[in-house]
Amino acid sequence: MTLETTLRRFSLLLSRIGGGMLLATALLVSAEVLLRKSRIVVFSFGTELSTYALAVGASWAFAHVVFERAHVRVDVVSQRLPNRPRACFDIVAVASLALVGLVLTFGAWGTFASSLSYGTTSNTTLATPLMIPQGMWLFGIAWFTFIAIYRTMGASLAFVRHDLAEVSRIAAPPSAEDKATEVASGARSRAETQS
Amino acid sequence: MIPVAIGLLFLLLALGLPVAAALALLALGLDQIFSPIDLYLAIGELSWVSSSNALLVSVPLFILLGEILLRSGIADHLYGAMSRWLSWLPGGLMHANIGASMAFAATSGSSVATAATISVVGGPMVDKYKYNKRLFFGSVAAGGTLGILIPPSINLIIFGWLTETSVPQLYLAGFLPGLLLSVVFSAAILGICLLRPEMGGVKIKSSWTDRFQSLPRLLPALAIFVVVIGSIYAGIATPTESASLGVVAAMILAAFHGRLSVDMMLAAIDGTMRSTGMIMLIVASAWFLNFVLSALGLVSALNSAIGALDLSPTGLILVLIAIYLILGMFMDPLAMMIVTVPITAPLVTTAGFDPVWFGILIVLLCEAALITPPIGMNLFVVQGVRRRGTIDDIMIGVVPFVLCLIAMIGLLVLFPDIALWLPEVLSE
Repeated sequence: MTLETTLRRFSLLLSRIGGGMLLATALLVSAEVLLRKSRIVVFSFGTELSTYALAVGASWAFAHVVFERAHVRVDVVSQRLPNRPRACFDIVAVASLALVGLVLTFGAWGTFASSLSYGTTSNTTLATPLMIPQGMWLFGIAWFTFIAIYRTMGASLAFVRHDLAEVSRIAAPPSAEDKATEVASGARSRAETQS
Repeated sequence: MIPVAIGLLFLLLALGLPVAAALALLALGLDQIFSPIDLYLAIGELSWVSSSNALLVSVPLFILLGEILLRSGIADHLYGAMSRWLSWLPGGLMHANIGASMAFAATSGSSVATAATISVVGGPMVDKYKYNKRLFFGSVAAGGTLGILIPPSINLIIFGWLTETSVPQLYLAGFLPGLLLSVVFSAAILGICLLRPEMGGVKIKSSWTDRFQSLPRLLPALAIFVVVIGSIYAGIATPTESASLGVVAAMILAAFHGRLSVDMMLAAIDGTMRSTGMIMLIVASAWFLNFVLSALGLVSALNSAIGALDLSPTGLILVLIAIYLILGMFMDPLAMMIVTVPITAPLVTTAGFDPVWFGILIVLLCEAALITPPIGMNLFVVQGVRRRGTIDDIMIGVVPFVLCLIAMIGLLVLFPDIALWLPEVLSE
């Protein structure tokens, strides 16, 4: 298995775990609402947990979104350029994600470190030590930054080798048609299993 | 400062940077140029607060709800029932496209999911009943946009979060415009097919028995709608909790249709997380940018600059509509909203407009953005399902519906009560 496949699979796995967390909190919150309505047991920590699931789940998906080249861009200008300048634009785009990732990692580290040193807990009945969700969130952002740097290097090396197709595979946005075909195939696969 | 900020934003976006990166870099840049203190120290705290926001939890949940419904078989039933009730009209099944989109929109918060679902079900009918393919697929692309106007709606949730407007009020405000827009779309189909009967396909006959027998097929969609929307107004659930209930209801429905499986849920989760990761990175950057903009006093500076232009309130709205229609040709509607609304909403409310009304106006403009070329996601989705011919067919076929949307925007500006009446009556 190549390095790229390993990193890609791990990023997909993280994204799925993040989605699983969101789904789990949706089930928990639903149970909470039904129990509250029937007055059997009243508990309310689902909403708090779901906010952590959102922050952590989304940040764990960031890296996979880089692999899928789905961080949305306005590519009206770059699409109309010849191959070589367009490849430069694509590299700048993925590099800008890496740069923002570095800034975010730095910021998230600050937030996590202060929760850690002050032992901050949430102001709720759960009194969640914030370092736990914030630590997981920091991990997602750091992994995203690492992947964005890895993709930037891959695309830059390919550019130096004059392998523009490889640059495009790593960093160019999938055409809108491709994205749409994916949505469509989701809907269609369901129609085909039926017929 | 204003020209620098706007210039930089457009430069970064035109360079083709990912929207999230463009916003974050703009914030850092403006901070470096104009601010005496380093605001970037706040970036960690700001992104944690925005990405662990309780209202925003409903965004991925509604995307997941849409991804499950897309695969749940609910659309076939909706379409079957709608076609029996509506296909006697000149224009036949094209009215079923609009009707089924409207009903699906009441269960889904996403326009792309709506367009994808309805085009899969409706698409095969074009050749079977000899419809004009351009008009037919145009009606699917346009009908799909109802997804974000009729509640639940991802765009209205984000608008509510950006402007601190009540989401239940925004939902109520979306109902009548949603119904009215469906009627306008249908009226356009009717008008065109009365003038050019050959576009309207072969007549399909259904008996009253058929029609009444088809009614139970509307129940699954109605059930989801009652769970998601009813629970909010019955005071059982908050908008976020209602999204969780909707996900569970959709899973039960999919299980009922024999479609619930591990593979199906994994595919739904993958699709959900791709959109969620993309949106939430933009949300975190936009939140940081808003913080920098307000710290620098840019919004109030823009306010006084617009005040100095001495535009009438209506003049301001017309200018904004023109700007949004143009932006919408090139930008993803959700990204467009997150980038612009923090700046435009204060302008509009200062000019004396109701933020709830403005929310509906923005969503109508997002709908236009979904179907105006060159970049219009619904056009691509419908073409993606169709898999033959060129996208030009759909771009041409959707033109009458773009005009309908613009007419609807005009109606909303002339008669704000279309949006505001229902929330006012029900909150009394």
